[in-house]
Amino acid sequence: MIRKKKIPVSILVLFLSILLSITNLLADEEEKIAKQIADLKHSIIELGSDVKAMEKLLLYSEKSLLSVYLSMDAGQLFELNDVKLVIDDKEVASHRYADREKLGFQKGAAQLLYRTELGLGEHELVAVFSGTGVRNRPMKRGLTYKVEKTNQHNIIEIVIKDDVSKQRPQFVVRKIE
Amino acid sequence: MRNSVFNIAFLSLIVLYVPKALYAQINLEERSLENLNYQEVYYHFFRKDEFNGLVNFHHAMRQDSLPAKAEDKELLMAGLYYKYGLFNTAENIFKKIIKDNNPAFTKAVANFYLAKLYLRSGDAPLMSSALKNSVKHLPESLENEHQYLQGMQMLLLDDIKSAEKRLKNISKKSKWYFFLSFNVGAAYFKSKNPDAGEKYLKRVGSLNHDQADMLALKDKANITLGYYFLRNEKYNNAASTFEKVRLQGPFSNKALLGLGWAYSNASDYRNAIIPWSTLSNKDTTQLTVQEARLALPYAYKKLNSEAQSLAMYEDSIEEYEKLKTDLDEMLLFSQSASVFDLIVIDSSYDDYGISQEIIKHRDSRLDRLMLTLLNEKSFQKLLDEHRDLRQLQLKLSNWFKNSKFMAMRLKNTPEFRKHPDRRSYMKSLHKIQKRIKKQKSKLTKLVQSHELLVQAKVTKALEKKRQFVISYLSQARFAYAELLDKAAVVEQ
Repeated sequence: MIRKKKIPVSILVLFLSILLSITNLLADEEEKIAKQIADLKHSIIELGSDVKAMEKLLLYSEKSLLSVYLSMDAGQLFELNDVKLVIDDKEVASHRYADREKLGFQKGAAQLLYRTELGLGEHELVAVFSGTGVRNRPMKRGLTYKVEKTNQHNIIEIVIKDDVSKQRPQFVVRKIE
Repeated sequence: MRNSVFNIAFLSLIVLYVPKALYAQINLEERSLENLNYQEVYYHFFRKDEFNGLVNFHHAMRQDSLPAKAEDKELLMAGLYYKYGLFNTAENIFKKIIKDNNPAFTKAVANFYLAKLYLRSGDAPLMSSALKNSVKHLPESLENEHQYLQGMQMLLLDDIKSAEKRLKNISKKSKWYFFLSFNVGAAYFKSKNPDAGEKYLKRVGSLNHDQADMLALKDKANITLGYYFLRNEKYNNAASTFEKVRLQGPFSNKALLGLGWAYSNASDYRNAIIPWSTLSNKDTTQLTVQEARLALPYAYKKLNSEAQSLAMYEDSIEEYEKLKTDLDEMLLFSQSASVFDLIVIDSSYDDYGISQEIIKHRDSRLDRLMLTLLNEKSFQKLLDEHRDLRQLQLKLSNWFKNSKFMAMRLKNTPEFRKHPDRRSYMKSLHKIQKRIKKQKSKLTKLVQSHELLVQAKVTKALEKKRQFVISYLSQARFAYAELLDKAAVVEQ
């Protein structure tokens, strides 16, 4: 029959003290590394801001830029699930929204949906929104808009609004000058 | 047999439970946000993309392209730092908001979040002063949470009675009411006054809510209560409490184990078999499953089903031996390579550089063992840091690629070829490239140190797991031998 062997107390004490000192060493090291990570995050955020400034100067030509933003005004009559953006018959962006992003829209956030360089003149922009409307009914809505690309950074904002009288969402384009 | 796991499970639950939501979200009050730059930062804030939010914020600040009338600009910045884990920076900004000539409302909100920061660090006096300074001018929507924080501050001072009184000021419909109720109950248990704590945990354990955090809190209360009843030999109460825990939730294993013990300790072995059988068929890398594999043959033995019991002990011994071999192998591995080589962290990043990852494992037993280990609460911070470091690595690589593209544009595009600032642009770009390289090399070193740290912690945790398995193995062998001895005596 197998019997359990007793471990001497002195060995147990030694084992525990080694374990304790390793634990302390690890905690110190963890704290040290956490501080280094925090310092590095700060430096990289600062660097990122400089890179962004440089990109603005050199990566795109400001004159040929078009930016498309998406935001929501109220948004009680439509729960946005996903969006697809088509410019001149080419799908250029799509996004599926998490609950936290939807909450953000309701709190006043705006998403930079797409930014590109475009030639001067008229372009067709189509946005397709899928989601749920009143009484949880699945809903798909499209928006077509003619963009006149001028010799400056053109910014448009698509706003999802509530049309309370008709109990349905409204998709409005706002040009930002 | 000593039911060791439930003692450990019970002790680990008697800690102050602070809702995750408290740290995960700063709910800045609604404002008219007109400026798209600002609204975009706000979007990053909500999608938990603090890094890009902060980069955009600093860039917009420098370009002076944030709306002047947005009084809570700094509040948003502090919120981003807070959520990104840069607590000291967040604290300094909150303090600055309070010191500067800001509207009373903004100061109140800053004090409110400072109180949250101090709760995190466990600093009761500072928390008290921040709460006092935020009491006036705070929006009504934060009132319940404010009361909750006051209760928590009292619990930090071990003043349970005062914390208890705070509950009267919180709406019973608010989730803060249940969070504080749980913490008051847990504090009573911790201070060895379980009778006083029982009613609070019962209240939380029977709450009617369908939100995920509330359901988790409800399960946690029932688990704590169930093990308390078990220790106090109130087996019927224990069983009915464990039965309230959701089978698909994170506490289901602990509940199944406890339910088995509740029946077994009441000598109802037939009923004990049901939850333990369910648990035994689950993943054996879990401690609760390991214990169930020892408890189940014990119940069969008590029912005089010796043959079944013997077969099960044999099966468990084999499983423990396999586990021990796996753990030995893992220990060897963890001393020589990165644990992140064993698991797959899905590296798909979206346009914003946000990791879409969930940690996966390949299908081997070893990988599963590592995944179980890393999913433990003690590794959460290290995993978050690992994810952040990976995101930074990716960002720096992308920036460097873009910088090369920018250099090409400067050299080859007609727009820039005759540009009066071309030289200075080139110089600035080179400087940026140098800085990216420098940060990249720092980051590489830091990633290495971090992996070594994870490795050391994994080794320690594996060693602990190994001790548990050895103990189960020895108990199973002992019980098996005892059964064999008994059978031999009967034969003689």
